[in-house]
Amino acid sequence: MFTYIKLGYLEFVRNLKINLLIVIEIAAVLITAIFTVSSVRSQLRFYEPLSNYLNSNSLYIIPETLSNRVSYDKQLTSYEAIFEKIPEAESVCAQTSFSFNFTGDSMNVSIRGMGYPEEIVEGFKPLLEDGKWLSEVSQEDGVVNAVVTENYSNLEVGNELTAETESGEPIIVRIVGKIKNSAAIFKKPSGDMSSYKADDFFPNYLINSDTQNEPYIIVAQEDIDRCGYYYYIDKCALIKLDDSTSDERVEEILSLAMSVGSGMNAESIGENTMDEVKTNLIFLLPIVVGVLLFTIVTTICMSAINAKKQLRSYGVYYICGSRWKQCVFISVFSSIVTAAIAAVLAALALFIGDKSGLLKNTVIEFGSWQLLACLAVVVLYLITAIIMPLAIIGRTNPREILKNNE
Amino acid sequence: MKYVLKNLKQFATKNKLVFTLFIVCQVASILILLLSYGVYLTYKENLDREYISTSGLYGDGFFGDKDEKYSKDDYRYMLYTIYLDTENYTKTLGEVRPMFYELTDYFDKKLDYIEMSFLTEPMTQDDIDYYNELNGSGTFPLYIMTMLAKHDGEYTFGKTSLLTLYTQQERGYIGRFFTDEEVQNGDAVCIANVDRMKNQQVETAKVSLREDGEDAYVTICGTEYKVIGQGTNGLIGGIYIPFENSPDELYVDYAMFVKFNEPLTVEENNKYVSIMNKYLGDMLVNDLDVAVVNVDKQTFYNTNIWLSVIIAFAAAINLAVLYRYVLTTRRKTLAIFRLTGATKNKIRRIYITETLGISVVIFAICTVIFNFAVLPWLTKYYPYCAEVYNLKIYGIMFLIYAAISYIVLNAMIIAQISRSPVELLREGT
Repeated sequence: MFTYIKLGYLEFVRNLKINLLIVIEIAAVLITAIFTVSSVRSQLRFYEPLSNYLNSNSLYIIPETLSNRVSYDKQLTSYEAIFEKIPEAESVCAQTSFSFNFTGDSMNVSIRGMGYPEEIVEGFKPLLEDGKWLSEVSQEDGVVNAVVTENYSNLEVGNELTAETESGEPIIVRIVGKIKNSAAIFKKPSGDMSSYKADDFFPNYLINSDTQNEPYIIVAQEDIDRCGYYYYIDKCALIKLDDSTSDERVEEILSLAMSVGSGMNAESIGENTMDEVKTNLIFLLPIVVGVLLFTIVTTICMSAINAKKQLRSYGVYYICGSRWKQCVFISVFSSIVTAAIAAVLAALALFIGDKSGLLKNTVIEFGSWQLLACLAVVVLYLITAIIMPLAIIGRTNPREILKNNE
Repeated sequence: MKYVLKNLKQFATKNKLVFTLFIVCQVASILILLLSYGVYLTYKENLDREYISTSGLYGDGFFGDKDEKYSKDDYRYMLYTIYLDTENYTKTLGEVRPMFYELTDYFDKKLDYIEMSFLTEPMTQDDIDYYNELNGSGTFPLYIMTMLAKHDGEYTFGKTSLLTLYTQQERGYIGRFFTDEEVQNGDAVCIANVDRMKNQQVETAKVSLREDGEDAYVTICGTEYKVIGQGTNGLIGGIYIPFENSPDELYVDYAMFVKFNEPLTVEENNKYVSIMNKYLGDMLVNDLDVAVVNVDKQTFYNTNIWLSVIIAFAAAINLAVLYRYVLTTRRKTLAIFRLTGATKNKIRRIYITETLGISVVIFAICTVIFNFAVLPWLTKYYPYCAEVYNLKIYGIMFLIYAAISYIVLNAMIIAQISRSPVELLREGT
């Protein structure tokens, strides 16, 4: 096996110039695969964090807050209240509102607090102007990480505001990120409830220079709990019910929700979202087809050229006792070397693109799906690296090969 | 040319696989290039055509679009009603006149018309109270209306306004509409409700009516206008005069309309807002929103533009790799050419002619296939595609493709032929 690897490497070095071109080509194909998958995945950006909550066993409720017509004991404006009044609730995904107890100079800052549940903090990242998202920074004792929207309060990444917990202990509110103006944030949707889609839970928040409306400061819900602050669910809660919940009980819960505000089954939101996603994916279809066509043509071309260039060596190996099958192994190992260097080159190009800010305003990310797409490209390349030499050699004998490639 | 054809024949017969791949690769690259351009323009259009919620939209004036291009919903984003605070501010026609020219010059054909009403005296608190009391249903002060539009570089009176529609209806309208010459020359002609002026005695110190036999004349701020069209109540409320001949001393009334022929792009909206703010400023009752491109969508579009760029780049390398292989198989021939006196430049020209010759033929075939087979299918997904492609665009695409191919292949050919004949012969075929 080691001999094959060594010979594969030697074949790569022997045709270094053309192999370097092939490396660039394969790297470009890997990058296009990453870009295409990222584009497709971006269509699910708003659906995925809420996917657990958009089926027949989930509800969307809009609990009234601070309303005279809802007595306090009936309100569903906190996680505790929901779990208490709806024991079937498995999990709740809600956007909450609260106020920081700022002290010292920080008291002058006018700002509204928003709490995001774990699903949103982990599953959604808004477009940032600067800094990092909540899930990308580590927790520190006595510090609450926060992200702000565009603001006219001169709040920037790195600023630290002083506040007190409900029990009077001092805490530092550290701004770790700043959201782009007009970027999507998780917030209560507006408009006709029957046509809600996952996108509607992520409206674009625009701060206008004329109105200079107050910014939002966003923190993880667990930090609000840690500080013991009073909060309320701001007319936006998705509840996932236990699978065993009967239809009658679902109706009862909906009636309860209606008595304190409004509510609906979240299944229609899921359906509307999937319809929208399908439409958008169809929109992307020509691009996906184009990239696929390009990938196939390129891998075949590169493998064919690689095999053609190595034919003479195969003839020599054959004369020295190797079988065609073993020559194919050498070709595969040579292609593995090409693919490995191409992968490193693609990673390097993306790293440079990321660090230089070239890819800042794109949806490009690298996750398991992108990795899978890259693996698919590499596998396709390796398969063609097996097929091509066999197809080219065909029934030709080594003498002819050596004669033709002398 | 002889050698070009000979090379081509040799390429096609001796390197069948590579020749086939070369053709397939070119076909794929050209189709992807053509597709990418359409996709790019469609994305751009989509981003630009994001509707903008500028304040003061007018939702009820939809008369149907004869081309069926725009729905009633679209129409909301084409007809803007701007309410003005005449209680606290006054402006004269002379002060806002440049606004008309700036809007018509910037938007040109895209602007259907600007319609603005004026009064001979600033509106008093009594007038406002009177308005409010009547709730808009009774007699209102005599206003003077003027409109401006620009079609094919010439100023005209708006052609699709309510007034125009009324004048086209036979019932209740007597006379004719303004001619383009009258509007451009600023002739002293007007359209008015003469009956109302007579019956309700709405004459003021600055407006008066004179009748001479069958003809009627209205004097506004000292200028006498001949009445060329008359409408009854319900059709014509005020006096319509051409913009070019409108008196500067008239006062801006409480509302104006700006009608566009299609919804505005983000850039156009912001230009519109800046012009309105510049001339009307504090008088605007509602803030006009400065539009911002949806940054989340923009990132998606940016990704796809990058994708197209990388594919174009990789496609060029693809061709270079394939042709490089072909050239390596021709080393012996190349060495003999050089030894028998062929210059590097001549050899380069032979090879470039060969590759570009293939490219031209393939591009022409691909364009025909794309235009007649792919484009109709593509239009289902990208509605603006059909509008985007034309002969000129195909020509530009070909030039881009030929230029990229020329640069990449030239660089590669020069690298290959720069070696000496001895080196080439040593390396074998």
